[in-house]
Amino acid sequence: MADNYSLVSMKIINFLGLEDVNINFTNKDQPRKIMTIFGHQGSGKTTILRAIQWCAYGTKFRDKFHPLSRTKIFPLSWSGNQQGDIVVSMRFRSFNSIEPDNDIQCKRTLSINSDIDKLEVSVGDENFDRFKSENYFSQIFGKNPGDFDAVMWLIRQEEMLTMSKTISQANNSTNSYFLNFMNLDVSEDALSELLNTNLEEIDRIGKGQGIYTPEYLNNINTSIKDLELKIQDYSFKLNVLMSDKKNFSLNAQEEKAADLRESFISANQELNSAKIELANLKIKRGEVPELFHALMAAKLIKKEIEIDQSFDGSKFEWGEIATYLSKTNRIPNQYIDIIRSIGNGSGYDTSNLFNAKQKISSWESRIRKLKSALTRYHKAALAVDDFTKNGITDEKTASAVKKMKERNKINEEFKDRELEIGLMERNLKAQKKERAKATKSLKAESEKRERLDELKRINSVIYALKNSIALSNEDYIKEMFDSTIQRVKQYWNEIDLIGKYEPMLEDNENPEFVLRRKKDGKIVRISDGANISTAAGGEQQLLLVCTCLAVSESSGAKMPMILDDCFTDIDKKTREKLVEVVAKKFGSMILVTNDPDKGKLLKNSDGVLNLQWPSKWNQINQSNYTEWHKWTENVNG
Amino acid sequence: MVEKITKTDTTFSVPRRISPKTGNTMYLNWQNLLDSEMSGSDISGVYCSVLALIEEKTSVFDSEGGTKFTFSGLNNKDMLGHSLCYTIAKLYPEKWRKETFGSFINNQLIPSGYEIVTESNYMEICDIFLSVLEL
Repeated sequence: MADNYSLVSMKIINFLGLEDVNINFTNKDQPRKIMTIFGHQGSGKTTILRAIQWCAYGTKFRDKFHPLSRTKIFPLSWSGNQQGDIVVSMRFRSFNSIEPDNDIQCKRTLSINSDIDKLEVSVGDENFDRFKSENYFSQIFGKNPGDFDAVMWLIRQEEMLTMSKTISQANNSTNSYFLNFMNLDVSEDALSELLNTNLEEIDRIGKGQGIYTPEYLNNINTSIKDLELKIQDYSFKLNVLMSDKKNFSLNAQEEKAADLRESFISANQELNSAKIELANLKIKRGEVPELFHALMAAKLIKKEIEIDQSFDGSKFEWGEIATYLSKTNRIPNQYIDIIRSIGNGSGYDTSNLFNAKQKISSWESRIRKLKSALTRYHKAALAVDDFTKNGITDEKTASAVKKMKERNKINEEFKDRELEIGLMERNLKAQKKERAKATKSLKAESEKRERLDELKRINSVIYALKNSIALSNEDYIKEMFDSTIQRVKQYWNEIDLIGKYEPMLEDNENPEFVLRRKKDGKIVRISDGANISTAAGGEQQLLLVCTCLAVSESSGAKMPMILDDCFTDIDKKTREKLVEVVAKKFGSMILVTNDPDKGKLLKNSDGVLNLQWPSKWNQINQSNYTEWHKWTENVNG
Repeated sequence: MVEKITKTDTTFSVPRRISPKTGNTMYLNWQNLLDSEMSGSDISGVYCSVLALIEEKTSVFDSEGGTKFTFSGLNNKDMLGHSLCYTIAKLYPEKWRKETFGSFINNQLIPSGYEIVTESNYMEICDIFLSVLEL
């Protein structure tokens, strides 16, 4: 890039009162290096400067009170609502070039409904990307002053005020306008960004702590081993059981016998019970005569034959008894005859038959029960007999049942073992899965730790680098600061015609740039302070201007230096000298004033841009901008 | 009153197969209705006779001989002989004569009763008893 640039032209659309203007800063197609912009208050001088500043640094979106905030640059007619695109284009030509082919064009656009400015830079026909555009910009305009309103290639009241506030902090403030001027911040952005990224990653790694430990993994391994052994043991026992199962398996007959055991026992019990019942009911030998009597008596009753009560007359010799009795002459003869007759044709003794009548009903009941008992017995005997015929014996069934119980027991045990093995195998599977998980996690933890160590190592290098840069910065800043101070003094010596004061940097903890009265060494501060006699305002202003000039020169910005009514208190001769020095030093300069006297200050000027803005005009556009501005050799009026 | 026409030594006989010592156990214990076998031919004779009287069965059989018995033993305590003779006399008065009663018992009652014994099972015997005991 060339050393310095001149402004060739500007196109402004919808910026404050400038609705649509084209300002040509050339004279016979060549840029005017040194010029004056002259106009009364409200003629648009400041608007042009604001437009240049906005094109350079863009909209201040965050600070709504900043003169370059979004709504502050709207035309008044918009009433706070954007109604179109805002565009400012500037064209620059380097001192070393006379052809427009290498002109740099910078165009900034704030579109309606857009949240950011669009920046376009081109050189000739070549359009640059955003990064390259910003790079060009910073080379031309210097570093973006950020929240400061001041600009390093523009000396206005704002710059002088800002400079006066920060000048004492120049040495050690990291937020210093002074430092910004000098573009001294060595970019540590890349390192800081890497550091932040690493710190974020360290934080992220630190948060995801694993839950597995080596001890846990060891425990799982032990558990798995134990389980495997146990499964092996159980499997062996299972095989033994399998063999037992075979030994205790029942054939069909045994199965049948086992199944029938219960009914076999039941049948035998029934038989026994039937036997006992039968035994109790059977007719005993001694009861047979009673039964016969009952049967015969019942038969006679059924035949409606009455049973006589008779007795066996042959038991005694009734004739002899009668003969004997008659001899006694005590018994009447009729009775003797009866007694004698008992012996004759005596009957059978029916006493038993007669008595048996009382027993008929009980014998009926007895016989019924006996019949039932016999039936029961026969049935039970048949059932038992049936078992016997089928080879179902007590021994066989008992043996079969015992075998079956044993077999069932083995089966149960077999099933239980199988189940246990199944459970253990499932457990084993789960544990192996857990082991795999733990192993993977521990590996990941190990990798994380390695990564953490690596990040920490990288960060320690970055910290060392940053410290080194900071130290370099310090030295560099100090060097630049010292050279800038020297420059201030040089400017002062060149411009100050009175010679009453000299600038000096106080040698204390917070050094301040002050004026020292040569004759008595009294100190004049730029800010009001105690015990200080106030120097003339002109000297203070001159010191500020010299400081701004020195800083601007140190900053490396390539813009034309713009002085905007910054020396109201400086005497005329000194002003002339100031303007002469600036024009010579910077090669390209714009003086902005509303004072006709000041407007004549620039010798060897390339022209005066006269601005006139009558109050009836609300904005400048194609219809009136020719009237609004014109180039003359001198200021009008 | 029934005239006593039988004598103590009047002999009767029962088939050998229902006689103790030679007889069939099932006949002798009434198809298990008895807890022990009948002890004498006289009881066997009464058994057959009673069955025949209940069933009113008096078929005539040729005498085949058998084990002889008298009523003397029956009349010692239980007067079974008296009861039997009385019952026979009441049920078959026309047969109760000195000339005929012997063959009636030997050739009709006892054989008929024996036939019942050999042809009946325990249930049938019980039913025979019940048929007369149910008044």
